[in-house]
Amino acid sequence: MLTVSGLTIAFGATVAVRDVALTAAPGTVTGILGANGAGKTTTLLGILHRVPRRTGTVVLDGRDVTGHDTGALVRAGIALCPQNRRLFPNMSIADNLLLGAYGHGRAVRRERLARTYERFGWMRERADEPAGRLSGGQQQAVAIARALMSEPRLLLLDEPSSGLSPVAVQEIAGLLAEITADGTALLLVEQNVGLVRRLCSTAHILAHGRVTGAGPVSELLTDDTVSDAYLGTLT
Amino acid sequence: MTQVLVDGIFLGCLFAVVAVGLTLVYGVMEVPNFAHAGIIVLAAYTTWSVSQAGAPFVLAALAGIACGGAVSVLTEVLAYRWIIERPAAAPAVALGLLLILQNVALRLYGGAGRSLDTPYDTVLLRFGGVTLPGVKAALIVLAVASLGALHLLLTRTSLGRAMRAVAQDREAAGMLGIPMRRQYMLAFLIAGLLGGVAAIAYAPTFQISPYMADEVLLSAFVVVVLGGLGSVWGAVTGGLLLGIVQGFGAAYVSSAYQSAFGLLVLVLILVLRPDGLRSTNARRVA
Repeated sequence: MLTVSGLTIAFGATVAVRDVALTAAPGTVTGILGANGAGKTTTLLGILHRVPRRTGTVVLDGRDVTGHDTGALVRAGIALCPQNRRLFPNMSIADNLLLGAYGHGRAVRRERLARTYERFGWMRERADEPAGRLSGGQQQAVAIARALMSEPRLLLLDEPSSGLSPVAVQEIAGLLAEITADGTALLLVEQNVGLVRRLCSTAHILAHGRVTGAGPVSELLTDDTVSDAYLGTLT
Repeated sequence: MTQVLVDGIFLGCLFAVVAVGLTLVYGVMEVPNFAHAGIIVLAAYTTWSVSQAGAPFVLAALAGIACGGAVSVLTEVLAYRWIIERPAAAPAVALGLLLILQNVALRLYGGAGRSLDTPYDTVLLRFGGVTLPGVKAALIVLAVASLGALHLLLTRTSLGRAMRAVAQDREAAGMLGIPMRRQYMLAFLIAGLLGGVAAIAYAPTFQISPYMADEVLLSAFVVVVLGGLGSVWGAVTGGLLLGIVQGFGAAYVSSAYQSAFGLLVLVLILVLRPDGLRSTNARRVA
């Protein structure tokens, strides 16, 4: 269970995220919705301590991890699947996956890699191929699999459907549903309303760095004003 | 002709060992590490000092290599680390460090040239009409062994994998929890150890002086650009290419223009393949 409270992130005099509070429960997908520049990605990066936090606390499963650096947060059970996937294109699929378990011993890395290959058979067959040669959907699957290599209890996902074909989006949606069913908490930043409807039980609406609404997705997305303002036309 | 080729390979190995150290640091930290020449100088003087004190050459060589690694890490910890967010300052800091290291050598050892004796000074290898002095053969063996070990480190270990990841996308590597400082330090340590290897290879053939590595540093930077910034195997390929071209140029045209041939190759590569021999769209280490 993730509980973020009072999170404020500033870059110099510019406050990007102000006093954000949110929760993400195990086995559920919590959405963070909002227009471009609302502070969604910055919020995820703030949770993982990739940007300097001015104030706020981050509590994971009852343990205050606010002051931890990114490495400690990953070891504590938080993983990020970043926007635009951010794979290492010249490195092999296997190397990309193994980097997800950085800091663990060789035996643990190999065991997790074997488990990943059981889930994604095609990755084993193409293990030595550079990740940059894969299609967008395949790259997204590798990015998610890489994040799962740290065996997170909380997975932060930043626009996993971005730039993907409708078929690939459906495949990614199925994969995320599987991960949730395993008991992992997902915090999903997404602008694809269909994906949000399908996966998220609750969501938080961000605007200008503040939470302006929160609640069950079924209620939030029936409010046309909210939908039009932050997500565009519903599909 | 085979003799010229072997001499070119010797020169190429020297360039490659120095250039790999430079490109590794550039790949991970984006620093043009001019101070590398100063590290080679201090490593060479350390080898000479320990040797003069009566220690066996192998021990002196190990001391020189260790000195290279230690001084290189010190430059990262005391200087480069503090300007990581200000990359425009890196060239000036690097030049400043070079001057400091050269002046430390000047202060400690004076400006007179020193020669380093090795147990294989008098060894002369002959095969198929080619003559290869022991010092040159030792360098080739040492270079191949060092670069082979580096290849294994980069491709077979978690640390090497992380270093390649940092070189390709520093922020993405950070998101996975890879500690940047450790990677920077490791890159400088490896570069320094390779600088030490270059020093013990270079010193017996040329003389040890505070400015002994200036010219080889210039050639190594040509190699780094030839091979593609941040590419280790580009640096190896570029080093061998430059060494062989300079060797043939010196033998068949004029040794006075030896460096000019290298620059000519650089211009040609930059015109035909602006990103370098082994570069791809993204930077890489390995």
